[in-house]
Amino acid sequence: MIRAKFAIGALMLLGACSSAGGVNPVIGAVWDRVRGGNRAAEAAVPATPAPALTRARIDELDIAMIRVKVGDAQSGSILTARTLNGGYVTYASSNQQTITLFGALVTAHRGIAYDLLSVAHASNDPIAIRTPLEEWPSAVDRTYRLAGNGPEGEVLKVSCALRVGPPYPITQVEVTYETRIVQESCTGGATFMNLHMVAEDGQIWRTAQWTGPLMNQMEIEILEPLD
Amino acid sequence: MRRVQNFLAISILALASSPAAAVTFGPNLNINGSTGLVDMPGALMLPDGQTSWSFTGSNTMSGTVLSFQLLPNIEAVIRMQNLQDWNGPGVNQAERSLDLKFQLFGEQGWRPAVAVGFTDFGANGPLASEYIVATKSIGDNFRLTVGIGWGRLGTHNPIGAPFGARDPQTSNTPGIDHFFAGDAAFFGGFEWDTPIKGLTFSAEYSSDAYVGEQAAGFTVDSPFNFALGYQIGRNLNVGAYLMHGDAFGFRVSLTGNPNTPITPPDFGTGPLPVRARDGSSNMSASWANNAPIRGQMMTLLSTAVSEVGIRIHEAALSGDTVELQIQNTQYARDPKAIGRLARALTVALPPSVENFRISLVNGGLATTTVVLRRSDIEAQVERPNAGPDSYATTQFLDAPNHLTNPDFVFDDYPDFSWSFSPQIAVNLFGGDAFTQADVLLQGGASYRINRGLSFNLAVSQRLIGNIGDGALPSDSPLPHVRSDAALYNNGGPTMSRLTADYVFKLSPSVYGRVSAGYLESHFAGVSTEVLWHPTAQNWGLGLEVNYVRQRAFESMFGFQDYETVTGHASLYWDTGWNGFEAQIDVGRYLAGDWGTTLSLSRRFNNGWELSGYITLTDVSFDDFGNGNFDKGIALTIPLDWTLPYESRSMTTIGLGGYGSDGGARLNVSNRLYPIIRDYNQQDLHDSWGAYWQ
Repeated sequence: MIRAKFAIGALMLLGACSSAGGVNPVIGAVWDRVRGGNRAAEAAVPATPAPALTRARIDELDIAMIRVKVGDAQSGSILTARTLNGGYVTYASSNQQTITLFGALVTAHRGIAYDLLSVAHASNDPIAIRTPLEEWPSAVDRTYRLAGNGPEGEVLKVSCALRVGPPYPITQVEVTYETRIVQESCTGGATFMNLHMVAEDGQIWRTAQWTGPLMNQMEIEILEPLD
Repeated sequence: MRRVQNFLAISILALASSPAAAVTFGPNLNINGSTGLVDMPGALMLPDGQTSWSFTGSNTMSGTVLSFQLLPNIEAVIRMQNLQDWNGPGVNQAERSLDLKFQLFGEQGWRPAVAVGFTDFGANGPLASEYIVATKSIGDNFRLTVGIGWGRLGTHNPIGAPFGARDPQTSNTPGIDHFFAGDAAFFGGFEWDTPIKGLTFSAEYSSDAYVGEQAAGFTVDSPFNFALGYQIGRNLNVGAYLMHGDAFGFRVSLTGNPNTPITPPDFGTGPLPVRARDGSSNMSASWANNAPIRGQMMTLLSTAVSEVGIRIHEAALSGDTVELQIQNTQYARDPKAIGRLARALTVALPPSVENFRISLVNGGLATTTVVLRRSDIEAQVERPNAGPDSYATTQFLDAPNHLTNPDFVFDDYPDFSWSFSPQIAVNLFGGDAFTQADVLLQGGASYRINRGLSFNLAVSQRLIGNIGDGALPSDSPLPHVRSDAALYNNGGPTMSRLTADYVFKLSPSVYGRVSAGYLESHFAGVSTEVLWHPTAQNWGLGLEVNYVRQRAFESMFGFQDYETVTGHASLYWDTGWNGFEAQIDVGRYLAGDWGTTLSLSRRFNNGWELSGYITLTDVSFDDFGNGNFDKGIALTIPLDWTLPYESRSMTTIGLGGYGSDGGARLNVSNRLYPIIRDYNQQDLHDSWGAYWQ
């Protein structure tokens, strides 16, 4: 019995252990605990608190910026624009998790669980192309491409009905925007609902979007839009 | 008349409260590890790829069962069951069977699912039976199953033999003459998804009279069997059974599906955003005339990408082209490494560099060169059809093994590396014992002089297990190339490899290997191999010739007198269909027998692989002994399926292929096809979805 316990313990510790890296995190944790070394010392030093995000700080940075929250997360992460390719703006966090937006439509994300590879939108899609609220179509079509077999991946086509709701002012980092709630109900290859807070000129300031069947909804605040 | 009453009793009970709606609960496993009722089979299928490992026991049998949903409509079950007291009091019968079930129709509307199945497929042994079965959902939580069985499933209250008499059970000799022959009998029952979440109840009328068990003294008091099944979490399912009136049984099943990994696949760092050039970019290539600058740039690039799991072996830079030979040390899918490197190149290289030629290196061999155009990357990134468009604009070429005039060469040779990994070996088919298993800790070390030449050591230590325990001295009439395996010292450390290995390429599409030393646990010698496999081709041809001598039982370095020449010509075929790959080897085996091995494997995109093989040689079934011919299966599971980070490590559970002299093949560690198989165009196509990840 002792031998069996030893065997199981050894397997747990030694799985995926090699000089090429990828040391088992179990080993890493045990090693840190045993040696009482750097990681423990680092943990003992109180981290310098991140400066509070203020509108003045955003203005000072003068860079397109979003705050993203996934699922039930208590706080969001700040991502800043890194590249602009043909209207697709890729935002990245400090640890290189990325989200790509076309307008306010999430078209891709990486490093946040199940990757969304790309989204094809119609030319009249007001979530992707800023459109005065009064000119919004009643429905649009989209194609979501998720990681899957072969270059095609998994393709989900949906039709989304848009319904403009009541006024709903929102405040984001000291600025209040007069917006309306727009509910977007999508059916087809997947069934889901998105919510958007949209100003009369079509600017979307806050949006909660579906980005894949295995992902929790992604909530995005546009803190500083791309000029 | 009585049998009709019995048969209808459960059916009427089932129909008494039957609203009409689609069923929502999944198929149950019966005590034999197949989808069905209690002991009887059903017509439903598990999700594609679903794998279950079950441990079962009752008053009449005990054993282990590996179930695998081979295709969406084909279920395969490998059973290793001990039939208790079958050969007299205290003398059990060890039975291994392959059960196949083919679903002819899925359930749709009023139509039930219909399946035809074969228990102990291709052999007329004690477990052999054939059946046709239908399953229909009635309401959200109720299912009804009826069927007709032959063979073992046609023994209780038979209705006659509609297709003629059945030969008596003789042995496990392969054959199909007994299919659907002999008496037939009806069976049926229902499954109920109880209000208690995860708990199901099943009842059945069995058509199995347990003739053999009754001859051994077992009594069957009732044809009605009952079961409770309970799903505990996502990967554990248990069952309790009341059978034949007063017999109890149980089943514990570990289940998993390679299509639904436990850990989300990408909680890591995302790729670099592509930096697109614009009209103001300086397209001058004059910098390329300065060789030190080229070398310095490639050295910096090598350092940078090594941080993200990419080792650059060789690099050459010109004004418009960069050539890189890289090894992916981190990402489970190679297109992901290619894509991340390409993104880094758009950031790191001067605007004039338009062509990226990236060759993938594995095991010291350059395999395929992927040719990308920077302008394509810039035009495709983030776009809706980036996946298919990028594949369409990428060229795949056979890679030269080295660059002609490199500006950078990885110069950390000699390179020493090591690894530890668990190994689980299970012996199902060889020897006299029932099921034997070893848990091994395998340590490996490699001292690489340069990319092609290395010295390799592998040592394993059994942690727990019983393979070979109690084995009797072999009486095989063949040279004892495997049957005396138990005589090797299995308790202490075992040196399973100490070799000098040289791999090379004769041309961009022809690979070569020479290995010498202690090639495996039982044989030492010289092994040579050549493999022709153009990357754009989904098949390849190989030739291997070995001269080997058998190693001593007690001494780690000594030899016995037996020596032989063994080798095979091999055809490798990646079918491109559902991940199936086939391999045919024809040649001379270790015991001097001539024959062929047919291997079939199914690989899933996330790295799971189930493979099986059979070997038939000119050795007669009698001379071969238990099992008649060599066969085995293996399940390979990538460790990143259960680890919270991305890793290329895998572990393999091998079943069978132990202790038989006939059809025994030399176990060479670094055969060429496994080195290159993930790097041809077909495989890169299958995993190209990761290119933009």
